Amino acid sequence: MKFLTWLSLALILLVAGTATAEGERRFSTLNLQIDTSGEELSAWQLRAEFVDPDTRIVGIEGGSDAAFADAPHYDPRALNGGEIILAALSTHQTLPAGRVTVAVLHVEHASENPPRLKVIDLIAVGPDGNETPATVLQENGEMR
Amino acid sequence: MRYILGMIFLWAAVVAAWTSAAEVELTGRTLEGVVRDLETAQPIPFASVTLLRPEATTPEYSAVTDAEGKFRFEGLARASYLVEVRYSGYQLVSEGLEIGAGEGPVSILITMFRDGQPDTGRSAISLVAGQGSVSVLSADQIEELTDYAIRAVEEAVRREREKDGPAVSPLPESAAEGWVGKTGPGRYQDFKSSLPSGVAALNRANGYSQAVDALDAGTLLAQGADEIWIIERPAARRPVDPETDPGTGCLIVIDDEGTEIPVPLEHTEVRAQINGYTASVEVRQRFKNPFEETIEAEYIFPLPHDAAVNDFLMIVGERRIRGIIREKEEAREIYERARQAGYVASLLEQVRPNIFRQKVANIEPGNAIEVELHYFNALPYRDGEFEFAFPLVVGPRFNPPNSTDPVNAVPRGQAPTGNSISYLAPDERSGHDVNITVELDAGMRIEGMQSLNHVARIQRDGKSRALIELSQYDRIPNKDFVLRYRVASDAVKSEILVHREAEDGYFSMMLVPPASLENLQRAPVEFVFVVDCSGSMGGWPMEKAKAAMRRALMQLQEGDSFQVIRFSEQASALGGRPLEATEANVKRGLEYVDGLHGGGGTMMVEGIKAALDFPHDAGRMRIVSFMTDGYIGNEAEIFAAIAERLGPTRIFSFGVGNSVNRHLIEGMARMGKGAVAYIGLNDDLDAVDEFYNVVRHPALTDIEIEWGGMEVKQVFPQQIGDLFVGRPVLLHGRYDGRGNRTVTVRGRAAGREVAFKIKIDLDATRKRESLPLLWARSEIQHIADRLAVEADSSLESRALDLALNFNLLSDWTSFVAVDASTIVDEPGTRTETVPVPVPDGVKYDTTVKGQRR
Repeated sequence: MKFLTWLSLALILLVAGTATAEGERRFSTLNLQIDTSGEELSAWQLRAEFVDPDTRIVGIEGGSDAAFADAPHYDPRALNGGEIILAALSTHQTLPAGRVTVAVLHVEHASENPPRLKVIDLIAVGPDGNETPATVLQENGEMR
Repeated sequence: MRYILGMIFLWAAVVAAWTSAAEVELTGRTLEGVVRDLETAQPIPFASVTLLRPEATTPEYSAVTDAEGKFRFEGLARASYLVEVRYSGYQLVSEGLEIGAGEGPVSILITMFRDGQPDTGRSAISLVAGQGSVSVLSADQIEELTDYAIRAVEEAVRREREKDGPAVSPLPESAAEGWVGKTGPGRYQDFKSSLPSGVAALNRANGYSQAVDALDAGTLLAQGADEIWIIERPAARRPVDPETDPGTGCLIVIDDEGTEIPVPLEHTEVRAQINGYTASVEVRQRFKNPFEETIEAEYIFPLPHDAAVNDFLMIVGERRIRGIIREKEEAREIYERARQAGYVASLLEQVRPNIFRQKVANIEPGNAIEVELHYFNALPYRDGEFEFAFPLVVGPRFNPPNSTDPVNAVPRGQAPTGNSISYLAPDERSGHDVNITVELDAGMRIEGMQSLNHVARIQRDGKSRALIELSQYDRIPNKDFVLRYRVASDAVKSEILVHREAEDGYFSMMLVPPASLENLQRAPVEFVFVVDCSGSMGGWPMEKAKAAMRRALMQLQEGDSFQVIRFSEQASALGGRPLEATEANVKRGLEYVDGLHGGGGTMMVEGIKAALDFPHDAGRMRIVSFMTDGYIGNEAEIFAAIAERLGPTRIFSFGVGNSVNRHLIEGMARMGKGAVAYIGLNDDLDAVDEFYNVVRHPALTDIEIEWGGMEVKQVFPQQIGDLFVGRPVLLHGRYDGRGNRTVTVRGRAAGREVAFKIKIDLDATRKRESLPLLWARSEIQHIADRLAVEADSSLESRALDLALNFNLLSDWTSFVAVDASTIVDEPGTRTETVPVPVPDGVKYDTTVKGQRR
């Protein structure tokens, strides 16, 4: 009988603990860098979705370079459809080349794993208006 | 008394000396004056002069004029008064007067109309600064107003030159030092450039500006001047201690321990760009925590009722974080979780289409957080003028019993619940100040411009552009900023603007009534005037509404009929049925209006029922005119009542006051297929004349549009109301197709068919990025109007989708921004609401303290 009592109590605590864990959400940041392999970057557009679909953007901040310090714009239609399309254009005199942080995403997520994006498409454009080869790098900030 | 019009001229008394500040003794002020007959300028002895405080029912001071018509009061508090002058055989003078912070005696000239003298339509007093009808100004304000007056004279000179009028002399160099003016068309003279005080008269119709002696002002008014500006140069200025004197730039609140500390909203910066009839506006609010613990700040504030808010940023130091549009409940949950976890976060919600709530969480002591929003809206065009209006305060609302979604008014310090706005008491001042800058590119020649409620610097740049900046002396957020600019009437034509995004085409169509309507005369009208007599209308708003009513009644024509209905808690009427507009009946109406006064709640639905359930006279078109400040919280109920009862009636709503509820006023006119007009507390009564100009000619009804091959869809408003003279209608829609098209608009006026054409180039490449947003915003408004009369979840889903897809703040969506990069040491649990002043002219005691709910 005592065993059953302890077992019941343990089950209750387990269920309660699971519920708490499921309900808990975290905030963290995800830095997005674009690497143009040394070419100047004047504009970019990224189409992506979160690996964990239960991750939500709660703020978009600009990057570290002055040319892309303004907060990038997002496409609300894409967001409403579950995708993320971000874009920024710089008219700055001095454009960055190589690896540059272009955005910091502030996100809320349920998973204990750091948020990650699955990149669907990236367009990077140089000062001449032509597309330039580029890759996206993701760097997670501290997660609380 | 058949008609009341008082004219009070204030000029500076000849002060003995410009004493030093140290010599000034801060005792009460002296008010002295003389009462004269308007036409003969003879003094009126034995006239009764009384001063009432706006919230009082009995006079605070009273006097009788002596044999020379003179009177004198001493030891007056610096406050707002209502001056009333009575004398047998003359019309009552009833005007507002504010005794300000100057030091010298204040002198006023009161001119009285004899009974039976017609209303000339001239304004009593028009000052361009301060609260109330008349203000005594500081020396700094005088300098700014002097600049303003000089610009007015320059404008008059320019207008005469452009009309190839008589040759004029250039302004004398002394213009920089004082007043200049001209004594008649074409003749300018240096005018008393060293006046210790000044009076300037403006005549809009003749386009001249004149500086005069105070006593000459009466003569000028008799000759037709329609504005008098009165400036007092005080003997000396009281030294201002920024630490202790709230003035206009420091908000002091008293916490539980009685310590004086500032509130958490420091400043609002508004930057507007107007291109054509579209405004693009950035609003930045700076929150700063003056307390010793981390706080959440909450601020309920107004924006234009048709603002399409499409962007939101939170600024933390140098970092700018763009907020995200989310479904309303989801945004609220995200914000709450972030707040509780200790993140700096902000939430922007819509309370009403013209009322919004800003929350900023976890502002640490001494830290500042800024938020910035952006919106587009289309400027209305009324009777030759475009209007840019930016509201600065939400008026205290009345909520009928059992309201489901009230907007409450509570005194500062009382715990707010739900949508509650916290108001400052009359002796408290908000340190929250505002600055407004407008860059105007009208796209057509600007013929005139004025800031109605504020002192503003206006710099013209060519014929069609101007820069308008709010004066640093007029930054208390207690009245709407209203800028009106006049353009040539033939410059505003029906037109269609287009914008294409990928395959999606959007258009905006302005339908301007054809000039031919002005050649047709209207049929007899049944006018039903409905006057809001609730507590918020008490005092100056009520007096303004009564003056407007009197002017309206005096303009009734033979064959018209009329009814006057008042409402507050209940509605009652002048008679059981409309009266023929005979002289005797109009006199009855005027006497009825004279007896109206403000008090009690605003059961507007009772006024709607009384006006629209009235038996209709089939032989006359019925026009219902509401005169109200619109301070209610049950707008949707009013819209539903109108939709249910309208029938063939048309509603013309007058907003009375300096911060009216435009969401209600405009919505009533929209649902009532009519039009609006606004009467500010410092305005003359042009709005009434404009109303008669609108109804003097038949409207274009039964409007149909043939799109000429243009593939059009989702056009809003779906039902085009009647097209009144001087009141264009704006439509928003989507289109497919390319090439040149000709759109034909058909309708009926006075039994005749009227048609006109509009040409459009669908291949136009100019980007007009506001058009998709204005279109989406107009459909959301259309949905809200339908939801006022029928519950339909599919409509709500459609509105939600629109708002999410177009990044629009709405009743279904909010913006949320979280700074997830840092966390505060101790999350704040204390919420500080930002108290606001009651609107200019509105009584605190009967609206906030009186608990009108």
